[in-house]
Amino acid sequence: MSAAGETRETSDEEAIGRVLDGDAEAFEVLVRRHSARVLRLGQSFFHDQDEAADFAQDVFIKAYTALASFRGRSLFSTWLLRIAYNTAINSKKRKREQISLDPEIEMAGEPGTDVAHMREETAKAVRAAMADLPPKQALCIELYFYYELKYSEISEITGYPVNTIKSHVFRAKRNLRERLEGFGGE
Amino acid sequence: MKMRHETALRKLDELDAGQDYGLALRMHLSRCSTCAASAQLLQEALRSYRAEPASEEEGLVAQRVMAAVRLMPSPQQDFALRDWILPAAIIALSMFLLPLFGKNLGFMESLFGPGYVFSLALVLGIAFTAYSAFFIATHLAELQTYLEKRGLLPR
Repeated sequence: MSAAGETRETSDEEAIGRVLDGDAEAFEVLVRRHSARVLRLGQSFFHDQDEAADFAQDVFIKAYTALASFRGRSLFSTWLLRIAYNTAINSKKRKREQISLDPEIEMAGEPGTDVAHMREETAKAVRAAMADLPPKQALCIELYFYYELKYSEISEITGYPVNTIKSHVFRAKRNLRERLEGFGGE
Repeated sequence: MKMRHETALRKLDELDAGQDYGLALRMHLSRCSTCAASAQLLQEALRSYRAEPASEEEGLVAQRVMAAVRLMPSPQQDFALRDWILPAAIIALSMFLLPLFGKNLGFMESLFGPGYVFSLALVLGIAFTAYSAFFIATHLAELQTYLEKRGLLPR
């Protein structure tokens, strides 16, 4: 079976079970399924493709090493994002850099189309909301808007209270709604 | 009771990811085309924001990770912390209770002789020390991570 076919057919739990039974190749299913999300988090943090790829590699190696400690109390994706979030925060701390969440970050998209324009506006609204917050809290916005995580899941990953996350997301949504007013077509 | 536009939009903005609109909001949206359009627009915007095309980096990351994984030892099923703590607690408790109640256990005395309390407490003490050493030896990586997180390890 091809790697892509196997990725579609094998659940996270099955893949984890196989890895823990000694089949290291089964880990590729998890990497292929979740690499886009981890890469995206890396790009949000580092604004650099190469650095994001190194970061993603680091996160998956950590996840592989710690896989036996995954108890299935949360989704694998939530557990993985918690590792990614901590890795990103620690990496930034180590470099002693100020995280700059640039509101004008370029988003890939087909220029000229309405969907691309809408996506661009959404990205701008999300980035603007993130720029208003301290870096660690800013990621809560991305975890909600891009990863579609629930408040409780974001709280589990970042350690922030649900109400703090809720109020940040609320403001970001309101801002996004204002930006989208021109798209109504009525 | 009719819901106002502002209330409906506030309720929309308060929704959790994947949360149902609820009856009152759903009824308002079915009657109010402005709010319904706004809700739909927000959903479309978020859908377009999430629909990012797969990048070449994804395949590259998978290749690099798997190349490293093939060189690493396989992760093993380990015991939960409470599975470690329970036997330790039983050994420790026995160690402390034995001198207090050991003399009342006549069958133990007839089995091991009159001085068994001291000998058995000594054996339990050695077992506890060995168990603790084994626990620390198998959790060195976690200990290192813990100390690093708290800045207690020199770089």
